[in-house]
Amino acid sequence: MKSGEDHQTVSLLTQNIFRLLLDAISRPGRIYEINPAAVGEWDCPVPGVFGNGDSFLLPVLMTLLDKEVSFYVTGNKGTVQEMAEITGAHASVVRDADFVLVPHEAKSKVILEAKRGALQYPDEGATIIFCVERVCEGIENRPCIRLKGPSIADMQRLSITGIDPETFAHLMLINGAFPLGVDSFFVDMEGRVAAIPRSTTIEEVKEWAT
Amino acid sequence: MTLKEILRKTFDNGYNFAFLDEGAKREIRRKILKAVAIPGYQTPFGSRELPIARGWGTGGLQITLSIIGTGDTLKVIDQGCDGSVNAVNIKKFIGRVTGVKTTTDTNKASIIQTRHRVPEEIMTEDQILILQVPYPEALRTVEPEETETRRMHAEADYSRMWLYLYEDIVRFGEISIGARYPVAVNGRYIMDPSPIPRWDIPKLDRADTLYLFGAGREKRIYAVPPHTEVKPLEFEDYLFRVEDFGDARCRRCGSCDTFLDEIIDDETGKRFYQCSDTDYCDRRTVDGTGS
Amino acid sequence: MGYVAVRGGEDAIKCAEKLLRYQRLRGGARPLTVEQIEGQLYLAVDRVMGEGSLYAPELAALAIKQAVGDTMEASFILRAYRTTKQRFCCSIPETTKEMRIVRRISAAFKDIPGGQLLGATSDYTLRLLDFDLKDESPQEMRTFIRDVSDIAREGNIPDTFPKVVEILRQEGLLVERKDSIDDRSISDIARQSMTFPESRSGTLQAMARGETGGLLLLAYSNMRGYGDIHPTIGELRVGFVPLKIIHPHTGEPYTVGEVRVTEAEVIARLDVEGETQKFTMGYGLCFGHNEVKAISMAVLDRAMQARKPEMPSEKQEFVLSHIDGIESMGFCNHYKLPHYVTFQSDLDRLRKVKEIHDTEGNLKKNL
Repeated sequence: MKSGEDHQTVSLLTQNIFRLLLDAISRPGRIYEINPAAVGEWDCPVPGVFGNGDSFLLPVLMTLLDKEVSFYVTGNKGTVQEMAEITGAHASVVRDADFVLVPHEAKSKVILEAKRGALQYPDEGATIIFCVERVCEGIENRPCIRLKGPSIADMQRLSITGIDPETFAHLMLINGAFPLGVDSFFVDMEGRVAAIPRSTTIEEVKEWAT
Repeated sequence: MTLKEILRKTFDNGYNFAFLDEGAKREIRRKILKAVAIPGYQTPFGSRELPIARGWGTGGLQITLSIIGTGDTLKVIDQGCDGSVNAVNIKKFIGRVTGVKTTTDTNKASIIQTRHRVPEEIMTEDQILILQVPYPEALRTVEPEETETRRMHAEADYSRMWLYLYEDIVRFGEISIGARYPVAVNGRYIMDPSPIPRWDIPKLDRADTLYLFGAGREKRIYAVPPHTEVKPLEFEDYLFRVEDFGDARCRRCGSCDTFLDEIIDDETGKRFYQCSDTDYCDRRTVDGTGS
Repeated sequence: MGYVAVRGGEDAIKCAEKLLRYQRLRGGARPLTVEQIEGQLYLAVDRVMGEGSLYAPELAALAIKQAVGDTMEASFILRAYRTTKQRFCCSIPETTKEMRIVRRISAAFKDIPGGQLLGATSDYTLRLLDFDLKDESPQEMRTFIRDVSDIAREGNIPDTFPKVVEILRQEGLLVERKDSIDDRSISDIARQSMTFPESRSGTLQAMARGETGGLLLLAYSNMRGYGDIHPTIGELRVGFVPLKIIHPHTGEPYTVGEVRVTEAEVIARLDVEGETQKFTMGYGLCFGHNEVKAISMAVLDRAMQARKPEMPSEKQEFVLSHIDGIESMGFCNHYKLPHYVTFQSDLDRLRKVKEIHDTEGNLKKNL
């Protein structure tokens, strides 16, 4: 059992991360950075969830997952048990999962099967968390996606590396019938986070560097 | 106060930071993210009981408690007023369980919880406005049953709402809805903007600020993200109109471009006006920008 | 200037709180102890535990004292306290077969296996004001307790009783519910907002913490004629059920205490097409000794099985959305908060409509 003070520290850290996720989903495609010092204070049982380089993923998972929700991890089966233990969430098949995790470089085709919610309850659509190498602001004429829609003033460019290049085509398909769809977060190796909610239209995928 | 001191202080009160337990906060946070991802859609959530009564801002309060952190500065208003009893009560409670700084200055607040008003000052992208909601369902006026209103939203079947507005015009010659004027968000969901005056509706449209709406008793959270279209329902020949104060001015600061409270003087029985947003009025009075 | 002068409300709140306490104490009577409330006003305590949905007699008694006897307010205080508590685990689902019974009656059969057990009840007492109670002395109390110790002794009551409705079930006269609860998917209305149609477990939970008066009103409307349930009380029991959890270390069931509950099973007739006529059952169970609540709950549980819901008490959404005392009380009270902004907004519309009306009137006059 954690002491009261530790418990309170965790409480403040997850609050911090949540606000960042809230900013990210309120402003799709914009980059927000997790403070590394915040993660340093984390009493982290494993250094990375899927291996080295994703030490920022765990704080995100701790912020969102608990015993009330289910998750699915694409590919990497070895980590399922560990994740269930750390977060308290239970593993499920992809069709039923509240959260779908796509590790670094993993194929993302499986997200096509993720829950998109019902018309009466579209909020039941899954949240997808992608671990990627790097997210950064897109620059014109470089490989990037253009995002449009509510929450975006005009247009937002976003560049992501270390992700299955098919991902965006999948997301366009999944989110083609608003309000049904999935909401995605992209967490990179240095703690940068960006989001693409289902309300966002991915307008253009410029030849993606793999 | 250092972080450790804040923690000790709140924990010593016997309650978790921000009162709610971590499980409750996580659930509310998950629902807030969904609400933002689906602008104008009412996300159900497991609303918790608080030491403040249902109907007194518990929805707004649960959102505030779930998002607030030690770095925040909080402002709470009721009817535009920082000093209103209910606002003071809520602010005192949040202060006690979080130790955050509080303010009355709209510009200095990072989180503003409000009942029935949007501040006059244009808010920035670094701020979040949390509105307390008594009736989250805009369609409740035309349909009492939740199963049916959910179907109507699902199918974007809003014909009965439009018919209601049309009949209103036939009867009264104008759309007679005062506060709680229904709006369409992002061209999809019809949404109840909470009982704010029509005056405040244009402030929701394509704003820089994130607006979160919490209905504690009805257990719903919804959102208008920044830069999202919010259009009041209107007909081409019967347009939406904000409140008209004629040539009335605020008795204190002289403002004629703010929402005014109408006040009857005790002694003379004469009617006069005063800004509803007391902070805005106070600052204009001190600045000397008033007349 | 009414509400406008309410600025600087912090002092006003503090004074109001002080005045409330003053009001309670000014009479000069000896302070009421929590123990007295728990022991001598136990039906109020039970009601508060049920509606506050926390089984904690001492805390419920304290809440009653704090709320100056208002059970709705006391339930609210208890419910608000409950939300701050961490959940350690879920108890193991229990049947009431093992219930340690203190009262048990059936209106369906004259003789029931195990016998009728009247227990403590005022059902057959003449409701005359008992002036002797005005001067109840400790000496008198002790004498009385000694004199009735024979009746109160539980020694001659069997440990368990068979369930009356089992007789009907064994005969195949009871319609088995299709929506009976699956242990693995018990919903938790404290953590998930109800959606309609709500599961059976969610429905029963909502009623178990519903406000007694609210449940009674709806059930009564049905019994009186806005509905068609003519209930027979198959069995009403009051007693103690063990609370068992899985021991975190041994993994074995472990009894941590017992909870007093009231359980009602009402039977009503139902026509079944293509089958023989059968009985259906409505079920009610709540914390503490609260028979009106348990019976009302059972009647509503049955009423909501109506194939074509027409009456308010048959509509699940209607019933479940309006029975929570803490919610309805809070919302009713919230109308005391200032509403002058919305009022101003309405005033503006009214004046505008009147202006249009007047202009049209003048136009017609001038024609």
